[in-house]
Amino acid sequence: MSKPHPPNETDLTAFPRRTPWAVLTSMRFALVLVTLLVAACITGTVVPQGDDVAAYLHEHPDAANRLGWMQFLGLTKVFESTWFFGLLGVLALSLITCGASQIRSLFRKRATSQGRTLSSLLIHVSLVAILAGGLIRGVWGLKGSIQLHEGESTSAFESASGIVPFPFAVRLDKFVIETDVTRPVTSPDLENRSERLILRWAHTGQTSSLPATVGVEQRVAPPGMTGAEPYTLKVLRSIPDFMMDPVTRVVETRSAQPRNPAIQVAVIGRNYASTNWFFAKYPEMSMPMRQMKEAPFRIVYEKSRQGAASGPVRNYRSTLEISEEGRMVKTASLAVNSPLSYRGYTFYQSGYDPRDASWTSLLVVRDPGVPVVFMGFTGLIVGIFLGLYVWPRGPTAAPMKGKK
Amino acid sequence: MNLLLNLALGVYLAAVVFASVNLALKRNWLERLSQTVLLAGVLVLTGYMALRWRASGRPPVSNMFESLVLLAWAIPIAYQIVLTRLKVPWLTAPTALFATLTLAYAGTYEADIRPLMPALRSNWLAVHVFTCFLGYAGLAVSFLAAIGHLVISRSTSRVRPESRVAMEETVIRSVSFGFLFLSVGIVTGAVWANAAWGTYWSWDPKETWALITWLVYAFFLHCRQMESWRGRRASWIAVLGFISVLFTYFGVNILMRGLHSYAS
Repeated sequence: MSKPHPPNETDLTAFPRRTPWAVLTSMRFALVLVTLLVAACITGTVVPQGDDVAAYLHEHPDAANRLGWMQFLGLTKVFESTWFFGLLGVLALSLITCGASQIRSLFRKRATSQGRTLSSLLIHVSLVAILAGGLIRGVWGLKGSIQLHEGESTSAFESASGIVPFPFAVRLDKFVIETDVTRPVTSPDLENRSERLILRWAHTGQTSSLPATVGVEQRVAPPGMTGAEPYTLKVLRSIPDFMMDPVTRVVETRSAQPRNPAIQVAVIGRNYASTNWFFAKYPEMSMPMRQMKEAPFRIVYEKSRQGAASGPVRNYRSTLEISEEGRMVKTASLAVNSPLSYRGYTFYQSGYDPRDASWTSLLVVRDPGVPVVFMGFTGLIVGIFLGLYVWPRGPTAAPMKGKK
Repeated sequence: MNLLLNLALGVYLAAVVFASVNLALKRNWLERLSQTVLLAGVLVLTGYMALRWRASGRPPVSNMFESLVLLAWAIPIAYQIVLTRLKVPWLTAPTALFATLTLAYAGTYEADIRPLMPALRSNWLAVHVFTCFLGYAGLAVSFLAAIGHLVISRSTSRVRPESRVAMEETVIRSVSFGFLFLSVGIVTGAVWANAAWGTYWSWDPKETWALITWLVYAFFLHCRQMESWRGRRASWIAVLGFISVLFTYFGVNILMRGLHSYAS
């Protein structure tokens, strides 16, 4: 007569006779669950997800039919899909039932077995805590961003669901970009080298780049059009802080500081001539002084900040003033890897504009689940260490075939 | 600095030679010599990494070259820790060879010291990368032991039972070592991501594949409790797990974009 199988052995026919509790706490169920999670995670990295789908279709238009089916099955948003959350829910349920079984058996076992059960219980409870923290984030968490120039303030941030108000106001007092080399740019050559004219051609969408050197004539041919006559460009003037008298329309510089850098560019081609002012801080604007026809290209004036330090960026730092009901309550700095928290909201240094060193973008997050997740992380590591090294399981090797 | 790197490579190669000769001769003194030479190579690499740390002003763990050197350094260390009070002399040769090939492969990447980008300027960088690569090193040893176990377990009559048991024990110990450090590496990465990017988990391809690797080895550790899943089946899972490690380390960098792309 054959030996009866232990309950956890690989025996498909045992399933229908088991209670849901027995199934949820069985080793076989755990292995199936882990396998499904692995398959889901692999799918989420191999199949284009979310915003990447459009970019993938643009590069591979023949994949439209295949991707359509994947979208229908929810495979292009795996980590936001209902079925994936369902899988995590089943995992949480299995972990909770395992934990409950382990608590019950703790009171029945010998000391050494209690240690192993305790470590396993700690691991399972910690995993539940991590999942719970993620659920808290999903339900009560907020995420968005704010963009500020120095001196500007705001009392709301932009999130995926719209504008969300803070219970306080935030003002960007100062923004600094720290570089590895702090030598300021002073010579005219260096200043000119950092200025470019970018031409965006209407007929092809391509761009051409030219140095914005004052007084030098430069010829540029339309890309992709063989035999077309080139255009002649010449930078007539460069002004650090543009100002135009509204009456006389005479252009002068307001100061020597590069607060509103602008250049005057003359463009001459066959049957075409124009003279325009272009502004480094306002690339969408240009001020035509003389123009005969619609331009065949758009000009963008790019200029790095005069006097700004050159070299690779080390860090960028914002100093924020926080005020409530009109009264300043706190001044604090934040940088990359060094966020600032206030009343449950955390501000992260997110981005900067190399052309405008007074502007920054900050990520705003409110996640009440973080402490729960971090407790879960701690318990997980402690539990794994206890289970593998303090109270390891044995025997380890499989028995030899034919030997008792 | 390059002299030390080349010296370490030479010493590793010497360890491979001694250990390979010992596969045929099976002498205890030759086994001790090959392990000692391998550890000497680790010392030389330690000197190289210390000099690089001093020259760059930061731990040398921020790009593919530095991470491969770190892995080549960690593999013999993990091997020595795992083999405490265990006798598996045949494993020294493949371990030394694996470490040597890793170090040689590092030489195909640019070794220039470059300034770190702002996101990487954190003490968490060293902790996260160091623990991850200690984990990878342990799992590399488990892969070699698992391959050896799969090969010899097909011919049980020619192999002593103690050797087979020792091999399987090596697989389990090295997976335990690697799994613990991989777990610490993933957790420290999540804590750092929360401080840098505002979220401890964003399903980034590197993060997701690290989780996949962790799940495969969690599968392995659960299997130990089922008698029918021990032995060769468990070794196959260890092999599969290391394939996942390789994809996490290399495949994601080459094939997928994400927040970790600065590691490529």
